[in-house]
Amino acid sequence: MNFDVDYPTDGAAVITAAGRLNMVAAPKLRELIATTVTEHHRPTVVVDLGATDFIDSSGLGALIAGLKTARSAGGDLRIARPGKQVTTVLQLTNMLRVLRPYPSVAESLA
Amino acid sequence: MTAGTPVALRLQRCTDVESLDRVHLLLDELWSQLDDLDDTDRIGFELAVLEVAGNIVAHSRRGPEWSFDLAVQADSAVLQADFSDSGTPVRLDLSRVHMPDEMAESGRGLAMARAAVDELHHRPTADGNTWVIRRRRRRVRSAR
Repeated sequence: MNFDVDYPTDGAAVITAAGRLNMVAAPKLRELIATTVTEHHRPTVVVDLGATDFIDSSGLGALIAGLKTARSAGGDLRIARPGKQVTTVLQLTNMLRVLRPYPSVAESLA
Repeated sequence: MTAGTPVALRLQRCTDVESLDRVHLLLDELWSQLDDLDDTDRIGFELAVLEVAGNIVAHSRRGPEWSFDLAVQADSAVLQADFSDSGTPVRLDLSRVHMPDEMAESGRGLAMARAAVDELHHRPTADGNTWVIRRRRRRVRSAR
């Protein structure tokens, strides 16, 4: 999995996660979100899942950890553009309420 | 390949977390040999297989020769995965597995695997542990 970080506004970051968000990649995403929030002072984090082929329980755990980190800094974590696999996993785990998907990165930043 | 032709593939001597990529590749190979696969079946089966593989990698108690094997097979009715590992045999009561609180950062894996397929079984053996995953295929076009 590859991660790219963009800073579209002063308070927000967009992390693009391309590939498989599994047990190998999840700890890296968790650390990247923590660094983005605490060191780069971007309490609002959007994780763009448009190029994420697969997510498992460890990937979900990284997103929840990131959500807590962002909220504790006064911000939020949002997910954008999930595909069918990610959406299926969110439904299966009843996570759509806490990780509400946005259809685009722009809408997640609005 | 038609829906009626069984396919069987095998992966041996997986030893670490990087082996999860080999599991993904094995499933990609399986999908490439099934020309009538329903997306929902693919997503559910792949999720369960990777969650069990992840559980084995993370929790199986192992010695220096530890490894796990995986065999997958598909026919017109069922997708099946059989894992065996050489870790310490343990007893697991999968009926007690449940989805944790929505803000939990871990503990979902086996609950997700159970929810994603029709059958999930674990059994301790003399040499380690075995897992069986079965998903009945939802929609299969009749073979011509």
